[in-house]
Amino acid sequence: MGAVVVQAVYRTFDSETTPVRALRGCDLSVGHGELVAVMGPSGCGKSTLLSLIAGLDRPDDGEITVAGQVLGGIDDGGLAAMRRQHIGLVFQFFHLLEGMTALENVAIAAMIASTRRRAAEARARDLLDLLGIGDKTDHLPGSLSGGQRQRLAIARALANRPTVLLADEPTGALDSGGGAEILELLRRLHRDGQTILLVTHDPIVAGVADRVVHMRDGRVLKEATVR
Amino acid sequence: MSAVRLWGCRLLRRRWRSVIVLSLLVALTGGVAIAAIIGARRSTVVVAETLHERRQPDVISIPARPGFDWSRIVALPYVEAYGFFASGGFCIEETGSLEAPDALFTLPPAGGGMYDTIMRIDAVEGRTPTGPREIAINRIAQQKYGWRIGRRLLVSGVATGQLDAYWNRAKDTGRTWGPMIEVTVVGIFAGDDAWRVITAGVGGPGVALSTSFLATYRDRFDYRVDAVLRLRGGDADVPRLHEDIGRIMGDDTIPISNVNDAKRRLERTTTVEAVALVLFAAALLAATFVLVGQALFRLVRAGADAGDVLPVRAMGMATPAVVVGLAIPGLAVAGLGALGALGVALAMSLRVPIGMAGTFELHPGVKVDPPVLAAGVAGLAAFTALAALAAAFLAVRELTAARDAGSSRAGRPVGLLPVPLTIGLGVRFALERRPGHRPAASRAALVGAVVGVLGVVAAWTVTAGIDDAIAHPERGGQTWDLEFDKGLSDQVITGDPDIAAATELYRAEVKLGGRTVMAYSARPIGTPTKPVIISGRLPDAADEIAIGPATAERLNLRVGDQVPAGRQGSRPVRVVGTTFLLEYAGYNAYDEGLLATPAGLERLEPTGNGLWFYLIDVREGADPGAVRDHLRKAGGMLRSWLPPAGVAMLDRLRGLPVLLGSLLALLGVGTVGHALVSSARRRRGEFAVLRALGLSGRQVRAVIMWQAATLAAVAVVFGVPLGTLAGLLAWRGIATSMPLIYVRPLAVLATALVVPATVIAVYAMAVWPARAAGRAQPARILRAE
Repeated sequence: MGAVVVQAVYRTFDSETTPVRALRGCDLSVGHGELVAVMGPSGCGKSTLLSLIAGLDRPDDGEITVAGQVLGGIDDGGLAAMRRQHIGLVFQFFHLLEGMTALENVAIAAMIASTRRRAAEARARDLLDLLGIGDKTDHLPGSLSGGQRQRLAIARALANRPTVLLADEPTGALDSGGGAEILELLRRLHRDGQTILLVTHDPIVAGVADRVVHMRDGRVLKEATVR
Repeated sequence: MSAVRLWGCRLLRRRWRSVIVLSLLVALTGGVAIAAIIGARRSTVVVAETLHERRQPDVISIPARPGFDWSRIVALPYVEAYGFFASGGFCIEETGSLEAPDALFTLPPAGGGMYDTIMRIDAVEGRTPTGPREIAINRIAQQKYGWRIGRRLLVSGVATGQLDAYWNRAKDTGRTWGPMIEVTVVGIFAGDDAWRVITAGVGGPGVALSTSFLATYRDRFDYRVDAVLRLRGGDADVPRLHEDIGRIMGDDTIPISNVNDAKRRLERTTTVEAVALVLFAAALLAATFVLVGQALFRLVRAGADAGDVLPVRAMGMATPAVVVGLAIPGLAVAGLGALGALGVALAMSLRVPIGMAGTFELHPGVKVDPPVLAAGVAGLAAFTALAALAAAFLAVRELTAARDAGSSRAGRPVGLLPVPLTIGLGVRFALERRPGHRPAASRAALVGAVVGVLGVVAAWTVTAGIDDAIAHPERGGQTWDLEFDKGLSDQVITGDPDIAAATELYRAEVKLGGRTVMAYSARPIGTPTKPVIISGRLPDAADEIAIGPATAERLNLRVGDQVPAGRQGSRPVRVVGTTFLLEYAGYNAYDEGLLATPAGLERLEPTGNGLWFYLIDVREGADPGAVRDHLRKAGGMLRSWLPPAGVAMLDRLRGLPVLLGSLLALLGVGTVGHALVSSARRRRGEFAVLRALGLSGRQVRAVIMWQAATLAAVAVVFGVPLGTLAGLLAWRGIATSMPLIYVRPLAVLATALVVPATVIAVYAMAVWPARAAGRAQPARILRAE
């Protein structure tokens, strides 16, 4: 069983005019230790797919399995517990907690997963060191560069040693230098065995993946192995 | 500028409903506040104006001497106007017989310039009575008894030759003392007069017979003629008049009542009312500024959030123009609200002044107070406009400038405290100003919550003080339950087991420091009633006195001072203390006069022309009514008396602290409610991130509930002690100004109830935003953010 398995998933959103059919029978499988990139134009359902895998949204139909756990039928609390245990999320616009320091931003993720404060802070320091921003522990996110903010977001996502790291356009808000830093980081994490599913429309970003999945109109069109 | 107008007007059209609602709110709250200030200003002058306008006297003299010759007194050159009235138990039969405690007495005019050059009556409805069978009533009588113009009433009095028997009535015989004349109500008059001013009967019902009543029926009644006089020099001529009456009549103990003294006492109360109205206006304006200000910020920011700002800037619109355009809906609120406030203020001015001052108002109706109206309306418009411009400026700056991601120091240490995560986050969110471009108004919420609790506790504390004073007349020096004029023996009093203490008081007028003051001496009958000592001690020796605080103030005397007393100041006395005295309506208030030993008073006033009273303190648990009946049957003549005037006046003030506290509580509820709702909405991105990190919807709800709990805790921890302190200070100020003995009021039960009430109220306000936040779809929010 893969780390993530998506089978015939449908998701439609209501809108003021016509319903938006974001996913129309999407299938995807991500193996343990794999780095998979999902590519496609804007509105093809990439981010919706990520939200469903993270348990932040529920499909209208189909089945999603994360680390062997079928998400259908799990209640809100169960999905939150699943996220704590198996999911690390990285967003295009970082979504950091602006009122908290870098250390707190990472530690709080571990604390949400019931790690004790001291242990959470220790883990946060290790991660910040690992990601090269160990000297920024007391900085607020607003005082960090874009690349540093995304590193911080990745550190936060890794706080609970997730089964799979979900990254939604992780370099979308960064300049080329910052983007390259993040890609190198993702590569490094992948080399260390981290399962990563990233969503992008940028071929350069997709270039770091083992496998690229192309989506259009809510469906997976084709898959290609990069190396 | 036309582009700005075009854009601004488009924003205005988009938000016209909010503009109308906000304008109405500004108009209503601002208008009521302006009316309160108009009322406060009016309260400070209405007593003096009314007494002046109705040509009230400076002096009321009741010599209580048969055949008193007024002709030489009224001929004195500084007597500007005078009038005579008949004292003799005239009363309105419908309100009870002459013996009834609630009987409405009246003093028929008996010549001079009554109703013309002095003691004018200005009918606000109907006309001034002229015929012998006509009468006017005041508005209070109209309200209390339901009498209208055309109503027929019976005026009773004392029959010819019966007056002495009536004055010296030894027992309640229930008999009719004289004839009854039917009169018709022909007019309603407004405002209180000098008589009620000096007898502390302000705000009570009153009637006025015509000047031809006695001219027609004088032979059927027995009465005594007393006088009212207005002096050219006013208050300054009163000592001179007193001396001249003494000189002309050969008796310097003839009592006169200085209306100006009573007027000053009253003005202390109306000043308290004015201060209360100003505080009410201040609280209302604070509530307006906070609640309407917040709504105004939301209104203006809604324009910025609509996404227009960046495009219009991209098109080349300068920042000041963008700010003005964005502020146009708020500026419309400023204009419409201020105009509406003018109308509301004029309409509400019909309801002011309130309380004691209101009973003096001769001209109820719309009060145009140009300075207050101009300043109030201009201030309201300026504040609202400035708030709109500030909101627009901040919105533009935040949208265009780099985001300041700093956080308040208050919040930083809290987040990772060793407490459960939801508690830590809730506390942090309550105390922390949310960084970024949408402040969560946590400081306003904290201040609002504290002010709300503070207001309620302070109001309760002041109300507790008022209730305590009303329940304990001894705060105003009244340490007895019954007063009798005469006709009692020591044996009767000491023989009644239900009497705990009794004192015989002797009262006479004496000279003290060049002024005539009422003097008392006390002789214990068994266990004596205990006078209330304010400072120092009671007199022990013949040359020692204790004085009332008002007398001390007027004569600038302190404990330890020597002061000339007696005729020609030949008997110096030493002030050894200050104390409250027996209030004798028309002559001295409970804070005026002096207390001497019996020997000391005889030394000062040896003629023995004074009066005797008995003060009876009924044993705890005994029935005062039974004691009263026993003493009346034994020959005692019960005095109809009122609680000390200062205490009676307090009852009229009781509603004000409650009103003020309610407003502050409303301010707190509004601020906290707004903060909780807006915080939950503005932090929706943070909650969505926390959900993405694994926080459940239930935990998000818990965070908001803990945020509410923190607000409640801060409100209680700071609000209760600060409110208690504010209430104690306010009550001390009121008690001192009355004056009353200050006893620290503690609204223990009310204060204890504040804690659960605050928690319940804040929790109730948090339920809806917490549920909404818990149910929010994090995926959608994150996508939108």
